[in-house]
Amino acid sequence: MNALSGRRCGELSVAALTLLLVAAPAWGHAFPDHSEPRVGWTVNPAPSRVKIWFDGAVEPIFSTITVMNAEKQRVDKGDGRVDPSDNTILEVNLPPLPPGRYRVFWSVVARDGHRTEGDFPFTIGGGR
Amino acid sequence: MCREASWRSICSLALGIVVVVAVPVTGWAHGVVGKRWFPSTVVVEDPFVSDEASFVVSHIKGPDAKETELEAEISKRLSPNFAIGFGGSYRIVNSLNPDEPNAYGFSNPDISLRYQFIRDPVHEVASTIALNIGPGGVGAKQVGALSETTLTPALQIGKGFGDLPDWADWLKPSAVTGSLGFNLFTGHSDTEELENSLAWGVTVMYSIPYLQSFVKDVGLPWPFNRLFPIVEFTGETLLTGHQSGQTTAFANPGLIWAGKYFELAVEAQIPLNDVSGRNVGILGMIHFFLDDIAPNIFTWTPFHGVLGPQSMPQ
Repeated sequence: MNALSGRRCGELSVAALTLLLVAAPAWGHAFPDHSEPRVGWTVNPAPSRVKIWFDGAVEPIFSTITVMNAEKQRVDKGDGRVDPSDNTILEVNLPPLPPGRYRVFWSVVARDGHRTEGDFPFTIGGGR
Repeated sequence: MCREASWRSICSLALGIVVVVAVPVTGWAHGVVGKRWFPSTVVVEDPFVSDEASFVVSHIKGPDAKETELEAEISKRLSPNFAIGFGGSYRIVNSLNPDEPNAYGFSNPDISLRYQFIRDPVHEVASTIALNIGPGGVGAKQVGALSETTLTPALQIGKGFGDLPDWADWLKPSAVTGSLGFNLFTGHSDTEELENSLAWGVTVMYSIPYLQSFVKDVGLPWPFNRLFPIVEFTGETLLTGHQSGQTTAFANPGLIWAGKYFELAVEAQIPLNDVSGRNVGILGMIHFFLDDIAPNIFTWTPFHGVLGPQSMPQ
């Protein structure tokens, strides 16, 4: 009986934990966890793509990512997408870019329907 | 065995709750304007409406007594821009004069009505107007609760500096908030000195989350990536009575840490003049984001349905 109670306690705990773990992301917004290139960093050579890892799944249809140069001209290949194999990743390919400062603009809709958006800079260094 | 198993289960559950509540560190709650997330501050009124519950503990040795105050406040949105709040505090006053008795009891409660009239995502500006009502005669007189009702019309404003030019990148995570209000008594008393006053507050803060997400990823790991170093300045200047013009003021430097569902804060309370005292006090706060904890319950409104957790503008 005691052992059973202990096991039931354990099961209850697991159930409660599962509920919390499952329920928590349902209302969470998607916010960037990290990115490549990293926010504000100088990279060399020029990256071939920008990837942002979010803390939750994002909706592919409503999520966008663009990259602008210092003259505010769009420079990415226009193929921004949510990674089909991991819907926490938003990415876009880049053509060979010259040294300079660039800014990534992202906008995503989390599974709960709430939109989050932001932007961050990165720089492509000139040296070898 | 049961005790062992139960204890293990309780530990597992507690650990699980801590993990679930604390580790999703990139969760954001309310006070969002554009890319800016304003944390709730300990002393100065926030420039936004939200569904929240706050518990503050303060302790300071003043000129006449050691004072400890336990304060609770709950705020609920009735529409996307309008909220009502209820607050109360319990005061323990230990007199420094051995001839005077110690006192303890509830202060007069506080009812607040707050309307958000500015939320500018581009310039990261938020502003509210508020009316606080302190019904007189409810609290304990021995801890200073007065018999007359006070009305406090007030204005709060917050401004983030994300719109600074790129050469000032490192200042972009900073933000200021301010609050200005008049404590006005609605009646007069022959036995109590009812002094109207001007209450003001200013906070200056730096958002590590903003720094790492939008300016430069400096590689700070959890839990440091959720910190907001802050200084709150608060003051009250008497406008009437025989001490008219007298000002008490404090500077409260400290740290705020924000998780997905709650926020923790600790601040020192440094008196800025002799009237305010000579000893440093301490403030602690735990603040719950009710709109994220149980959105279906706490963000329900009578005319706008379930608002859901506050999010970035769509």
